[in-house]
Amino acid sequence: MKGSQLQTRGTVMKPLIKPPSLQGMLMLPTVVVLGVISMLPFFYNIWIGLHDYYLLYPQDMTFIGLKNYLNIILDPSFWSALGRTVYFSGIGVSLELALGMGIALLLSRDFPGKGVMLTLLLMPMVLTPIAAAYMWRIMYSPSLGIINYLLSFLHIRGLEWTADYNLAIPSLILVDVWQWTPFMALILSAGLMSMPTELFEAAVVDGATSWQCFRHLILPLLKGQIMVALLIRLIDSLRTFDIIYAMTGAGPGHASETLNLYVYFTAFRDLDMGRASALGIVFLFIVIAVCTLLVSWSRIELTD
Amino acid sequence: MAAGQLHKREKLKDRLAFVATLIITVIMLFPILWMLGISLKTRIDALAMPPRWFFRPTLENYKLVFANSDFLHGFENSLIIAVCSLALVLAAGVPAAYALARFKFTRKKDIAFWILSTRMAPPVSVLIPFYLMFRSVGLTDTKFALVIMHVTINLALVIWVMRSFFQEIPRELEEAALIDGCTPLSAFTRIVLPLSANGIVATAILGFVFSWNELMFALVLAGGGAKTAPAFVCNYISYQEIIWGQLAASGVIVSVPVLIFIGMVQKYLVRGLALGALKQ
Repeated sequence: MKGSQLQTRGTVMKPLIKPPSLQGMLMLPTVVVLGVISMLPFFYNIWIGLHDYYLLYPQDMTFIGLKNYLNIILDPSFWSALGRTVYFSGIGVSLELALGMGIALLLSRDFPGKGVMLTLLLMPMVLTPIAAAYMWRIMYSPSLGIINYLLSFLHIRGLEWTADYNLAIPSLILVDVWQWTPFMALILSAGLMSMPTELFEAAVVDGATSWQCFRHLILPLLKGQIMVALLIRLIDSLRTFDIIYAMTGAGPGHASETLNLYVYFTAFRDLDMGRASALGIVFLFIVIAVCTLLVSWSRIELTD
Repeated sequence: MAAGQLHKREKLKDRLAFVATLIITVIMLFPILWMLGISLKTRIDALAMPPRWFFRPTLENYKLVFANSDFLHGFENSLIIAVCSLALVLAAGVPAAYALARFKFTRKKDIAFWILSTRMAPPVSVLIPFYLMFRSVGLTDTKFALVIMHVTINLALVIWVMRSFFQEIPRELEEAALIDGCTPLSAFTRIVLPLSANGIVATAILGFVFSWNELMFALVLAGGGAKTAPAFVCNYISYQEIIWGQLAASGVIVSVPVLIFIGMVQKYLVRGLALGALKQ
């Protein structure tokens, strides 16, 4: 009797430490599914990457060790694809951060219709990417598109946009910026709203200029949000597919072939699976390196 | 006096911010409205230069797109794949999210990071091994293959977003339930789950949208039978002669489910995109 009472009290006092199996039970499906959908293909990928394996001649699959990796390092088109990726993601994400910060600052002011405008600003990032790609293709059309028509008022004539070797990536960056600046703006404005307003009032009364406020108050306080937004956007930007595939098909030539498209085409156009798998692993480690660098540099905690 | 001036200046800044935000919103929306406009134009109006700002709208393009049975089939495939993959993801992910939100256990941080890392992996490097595996067992061009792939997109998303919902539910509720004789498991199923129904719906909708928008897996894994709506839309582009009106109409149609759904769960969107890394 007394013993059972004690036991009950014990449960009440430490209610969230249970028979050890519950957490395990709750985690089990996820661990199993993740094991199958992430670890299995990962190791299979490594395995394939150590082989010479053309999909057209699967019977000729031969083990070649690290030769695929060596070939990748010696391959100039890998390096130029990497360069284009840095170009596309670097410029795109930086622009999104700068513009997003601008919009977030505007939204921190008080004016009517803010909620409605915020909702409308969300639309570019939720639109089905392939639809967005089409839309921009129509607008970029050299002879019949609205963009060249509007530019003609500024006496700029007939740009070829996605068909121009030098303009292809900037054209894609413009679409990316259009689509994802709202994301930056939203995250940053959520951060701004959670800041104590007294701080700013005090600074303004003390005669701080807007720039001083921004530089010495907002930026340091917003660092966490900025870093998370940057990280998420970088991860997604590095693997941009739909827009590039549908708008330029990585062309003209290879002008807009980012690493992601390069791996894709190596696998599913050239059918060179060994090399593509190795490229996939290299790509994965590049993404991990970028993430690790950003996370450790900003000291944000991703897992609470 | 000084305070009054300050106040006036702030008011002026508010107004300037209003005008600037309005202009930005119009610029951001312009492409979407333009597509909508083209989709409602006749062939001649769509190709007119200078552009026709005022025209008699026609639903002809939409009729033509819908008359294509492949397109409807793609729509149906997208729907089935999204719903099935989400059911799997929710069944596995929701309990895991709860465990991550509430319990302490060994290697929890590592497991949480492992889950997150599946979102960092470039989809193309996940696709290659899966493609080879599906191919060797004859599963390419099946909805099943795409369902599995969409689980890979959404599992981390669901776990991280649901985790942040569970963290918002006060712990005391479960403690009270335990005192009233619930087991920890029934406290979860009877108290926490019903309370987080809204969160689950919001998360499911976010997952649906990601699944609906997915293109790369569909291009590679679906030939004809399992082709999804975005992959079908993609077909228009390979045609030599671009039919602007139908192109725009198909773009609008594919986006409509997404826009409706996101309208419903808009405030959770950022949480979903940022994987719950941020509290809104």
